[in-house]
Amino acid sequence: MIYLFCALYPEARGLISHYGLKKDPAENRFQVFYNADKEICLTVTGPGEVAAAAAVGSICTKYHAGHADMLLNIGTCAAVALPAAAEYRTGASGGRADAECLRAEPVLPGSAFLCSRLVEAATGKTFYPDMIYRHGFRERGIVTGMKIIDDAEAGFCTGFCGVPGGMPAACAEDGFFLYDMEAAAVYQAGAYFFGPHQMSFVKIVSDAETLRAEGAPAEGAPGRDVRAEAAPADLSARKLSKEGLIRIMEDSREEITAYIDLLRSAAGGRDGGSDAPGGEADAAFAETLCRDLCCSQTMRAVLHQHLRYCALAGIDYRAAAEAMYRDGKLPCRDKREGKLRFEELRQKLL
Amino acid sequence: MKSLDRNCYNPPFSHIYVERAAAEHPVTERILARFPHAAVILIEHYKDVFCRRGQDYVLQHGAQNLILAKKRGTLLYEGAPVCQSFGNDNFYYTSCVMNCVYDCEYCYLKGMYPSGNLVIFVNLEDIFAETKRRLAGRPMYLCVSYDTDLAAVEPITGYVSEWVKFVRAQNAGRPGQLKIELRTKSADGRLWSSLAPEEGVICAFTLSPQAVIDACEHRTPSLLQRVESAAAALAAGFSVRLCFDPMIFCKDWKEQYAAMTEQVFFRIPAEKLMDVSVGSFRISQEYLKKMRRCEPDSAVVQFPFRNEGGFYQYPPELMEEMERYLAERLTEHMPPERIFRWKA
Repeated sequence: MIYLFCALYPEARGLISHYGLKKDPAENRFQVFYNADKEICLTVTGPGEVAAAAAVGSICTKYHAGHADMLLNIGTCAAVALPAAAEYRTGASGGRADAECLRAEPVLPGSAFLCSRLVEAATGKTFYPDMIYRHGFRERGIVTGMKIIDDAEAGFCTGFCGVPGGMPAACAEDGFFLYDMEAAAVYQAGAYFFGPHQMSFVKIVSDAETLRAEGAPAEGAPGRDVRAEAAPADLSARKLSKEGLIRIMEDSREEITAYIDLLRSAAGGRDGGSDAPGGEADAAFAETLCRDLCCSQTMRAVLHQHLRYCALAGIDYRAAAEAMYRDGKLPCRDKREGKLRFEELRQKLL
Repeated sequence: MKSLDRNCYNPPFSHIYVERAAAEHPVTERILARFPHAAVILIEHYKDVFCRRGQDYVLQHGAQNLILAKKRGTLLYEGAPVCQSFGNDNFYYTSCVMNCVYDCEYCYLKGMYPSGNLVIFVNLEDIFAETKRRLAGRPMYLCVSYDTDLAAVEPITGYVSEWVKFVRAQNAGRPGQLKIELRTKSADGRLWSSLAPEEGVICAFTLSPQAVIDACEHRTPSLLQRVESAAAALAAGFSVRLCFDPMIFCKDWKEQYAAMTEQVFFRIPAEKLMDVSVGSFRISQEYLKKMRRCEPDSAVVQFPFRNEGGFYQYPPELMEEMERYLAERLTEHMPPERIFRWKA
């Protein structure tokens, strides 16, 4: 199952229609859309960290999310360019990262990112989803905060949670950082159900802003994303119309659905590795053998381990056991005889 | 995972996590320059990535990423009881790299580490300093390639070459002061011929029958390639050890190990070998428990081992039979005093 979490309905609408998801009428706390055939469950969490964490906890518990499933947080975010970005870029790191800054690609509204690092603004904690699967997105860290960033001032930025150098040093790799209100919370709630290899965070830039700092550069000065200024008025910070949001998500739908489809096949592949390598028939045979050997709980575990090994190593344990049935050595009368026969079987197998 | 198209995964080292404190180290810069297309992610501490909860070792190993960090705290460790000391006192090991680029199903690293990513500690100079400090007292036997295969990542790290130089410097005027073992399954014979030989460096090649390599030592060189590499190390003047350890049980193990012995000594002059080691697979119960969970379809880790004092091993009679059989084959080629069998 792929669990999709979006903060707002307009962020989810295109995916609901693409995958033919149907609303689950039984779910009354969150809007949940489901397609059992495609194994996709999409939840609209509502904006903010608390809503996102509550939705992830609730839905993953209800649907028994586990090791063969995937979580994908999809939504919009802000791309925040820094004033005088060069002095912030990588903090003390220098080196290659700085060199990369100089050829940073522009960030336009509609740019899609896969988040490689999630920073929780309230605590400074950083989370790292695994970057295992191929994708067509750009990659970037994201900061998750509880308030809308367009009101942020230099103090918020540089005094960020005790992180040395403030938020820019922690998060801005080439003069800007992504900012949303859910990702780090989704990760933390999701970590109760998923490993870091099962969680992905795709964010589409809905607005690009330049932070105002003390002595901030004037419009058009270095560090200010002039492309953002050219963006349509309805794309300014969190003032997007519903239609604007739908349009921006729609523009990235192909990339997003390609990634979802890749995760679906990955989740399908991970469904293998069963507890009974020989399938249900072998499991039934193993149970019969346990009974006929009068196995104790300990002996049962040892026998199962033997049979598991034999199934994987291509050793025909059925033939060996059936020969013992033919010879009248099975079934056994009691545990004592069972131990002797088990040892005999073990000798035949290994 | 097995049914998943390999194209779903990123190539190895597509992402490199760099500790902020290690970012300006020359080794970091050299390694990053080797992977110009990798995405670099700055981190505060390697454990923030390496020790995350709920990681899937096998999956990560399939799309392995790199972590560049500084090693802090303990730099040298006393040899573990499951490790062969070859009669040496003052036996230590060190981990300048954690994890391996090879993918052996039975490898204890899968049970020991929470992550399949490769960690390279860039501050090798600190490990050298600690080794020097401990050397002040008495000669030391130091295994430098236990928790990784250092020779396999030599093109990335250059650490084998650094260790050889370091040993030479330590032993100058004090022969035998420092002896290191570089254990490997790699097969780049050019590495050994490109280095000036040093008596204190033991090149230890782990060898397995080709059937075992095919079944469970994924991404490793073939037996013949390893043998050729060992021959190259010998020819270059290095001390060479052959490690038939771990021996892996399979239905026709006698034929497999007999054939391997013949292949090895057809190419390697036994009298030139320093020694050989023989040991069947054994592992701590905690590690095996984790390995069985993350490799449910691996026959080699699902074998019904016996638990002897917290360590899983083959049933005693089978273990004895396997090790004795191989030791006897080896005595046909070399004296028994140069054949080391692991003893608990």
